[in-house]
Amino acid sequence: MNDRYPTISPKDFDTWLNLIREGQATGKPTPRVPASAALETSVSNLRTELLRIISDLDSSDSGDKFNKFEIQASGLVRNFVDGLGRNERMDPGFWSYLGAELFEVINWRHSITTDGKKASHANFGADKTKSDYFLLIRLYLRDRLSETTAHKAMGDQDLWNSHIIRVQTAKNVSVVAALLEKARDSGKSGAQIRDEAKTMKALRANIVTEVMDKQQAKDFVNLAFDLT
Amino acid sequence: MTTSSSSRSKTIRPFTHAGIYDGVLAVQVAHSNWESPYEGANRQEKADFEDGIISVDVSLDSQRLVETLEESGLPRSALSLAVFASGRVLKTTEVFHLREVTADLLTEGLHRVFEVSKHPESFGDSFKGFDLTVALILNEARAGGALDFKHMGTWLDRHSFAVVPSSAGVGLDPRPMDSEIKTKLGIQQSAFLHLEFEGSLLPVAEPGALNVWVDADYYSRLFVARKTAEGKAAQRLLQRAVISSIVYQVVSELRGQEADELEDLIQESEAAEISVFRGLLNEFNKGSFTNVKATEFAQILLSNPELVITRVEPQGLLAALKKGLSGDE
Repeated sequence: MNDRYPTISPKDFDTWLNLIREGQATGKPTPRVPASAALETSVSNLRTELLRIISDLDSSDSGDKFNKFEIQASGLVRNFVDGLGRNERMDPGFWSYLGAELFEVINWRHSITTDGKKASHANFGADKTKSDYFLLIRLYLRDRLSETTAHKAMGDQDLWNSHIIRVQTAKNVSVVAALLEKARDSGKSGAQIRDEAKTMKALRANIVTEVMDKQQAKDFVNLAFDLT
Repeated sequence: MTTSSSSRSKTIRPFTHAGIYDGVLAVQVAHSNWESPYEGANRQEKADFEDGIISVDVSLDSQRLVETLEESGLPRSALSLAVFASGRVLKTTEVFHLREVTADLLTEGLHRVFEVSKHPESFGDSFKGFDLTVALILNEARAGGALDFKHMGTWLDRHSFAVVPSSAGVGLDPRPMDSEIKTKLGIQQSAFLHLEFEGSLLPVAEPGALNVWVDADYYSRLFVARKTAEGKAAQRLLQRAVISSIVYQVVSELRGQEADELEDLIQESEAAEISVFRGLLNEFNKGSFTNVKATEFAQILLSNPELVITRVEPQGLLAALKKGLSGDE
């Protein structure tokens, strides 16, 4: 519990998202502590930047725009969050506040306002136990888990979500890099390495990958691909 | 007493010598929030995540290790001890120790102490907690047949601790009441346990609005006996008594509501910033891995309060008890 930065409870956020679905929400959910003027300004700047990327992608009508968005947006989100204190970064309530503030951005990617769309509230940051589904966390992780900028641009969303972020692979940045490189070198998309990913998972039952260095990580990924 | 679910699933390991290394490592992990350290492999526990101290103690059974190395045909230099922790939301792994098993390690073991505040991403993950692992691993690839230990990173013995955040509960800090305090509270001198609060526990208990008092004589006996088995059993019984009192108070308040106001009271109680009701609900759900919602929980309270008392074992209460008993006030 803190009294220095804004947080939103999951229940409040959930209620508000339901109101949005019904077209009845006004404004944003009220945080427990109001945001400082400085924070409001920087959140607003971040929102503007992200919306600009979105509008550029929409108007250029490029394919794969969601993946392109993630590549461009991830560094911005990470720099923003890392620029705050460690308390904010590790506080689910603060991330929920950010999720509410950046609702328009998340809604573009996971719409709950377009008819027939079934985005989950976890995508917006309303469920801390499902943080791997929260767009802002995924953006943050994509930047953080990329050894280099080149790595960040590798892999499609499917690869990142299914084979890195939502599984144990992510716990070693060298393994992430090795996997991205291997997929690229094999010319395979996320969907095409499902079997290799299963092999990796099976290997991990007996092999500890968290302490591997770069070469060991490469050897591990090669092993998985060879065995598949 | 923590509500622990230890996942003791045995991984099927496709090795000729699978399992011979079991027990070479003895690992004890302690968190300053916990009543006592935990030993053994593959446990899941809870802790508060704002601060605290974690200690890890590893010892190796040298005799056993020598024998098993011979049996599996490995030199000691092929083995390393790895100690690392990963926070679940940011997925950062901190490797605290990764070194070949030396003679020194065999005789002295490993003892590390960490301040949670200095490793926020590893130990302070209040989204989903963290995993702490101690493992004996093959540190290099080796030649071998299909059923031999040959890939770098293969673990021979492994202990994992998954620690998840406890619920944001009410601070239930039992305090000793002597005869003077009992008089002030307006209760009889023979009283053993007393909940002091103003008006009601629902919808909200502000900090300080609920005081849990325990007879001072009993309290000091608990202190003296705190390290004995009897003392620990007595602590558990006290915890039961406190939870029972609270549950029955909550039940009587729910019963006192008119039907059309009950629903409102439940909603308010659940949503309040500091909430006895929500504390009980969270603990109830954790205790059984169910996901009962507020209204259903209220019904359970009304129809079967004993079930709630049995299932609710809030970490916070015992941590507070321990703090009080150890004299850190």
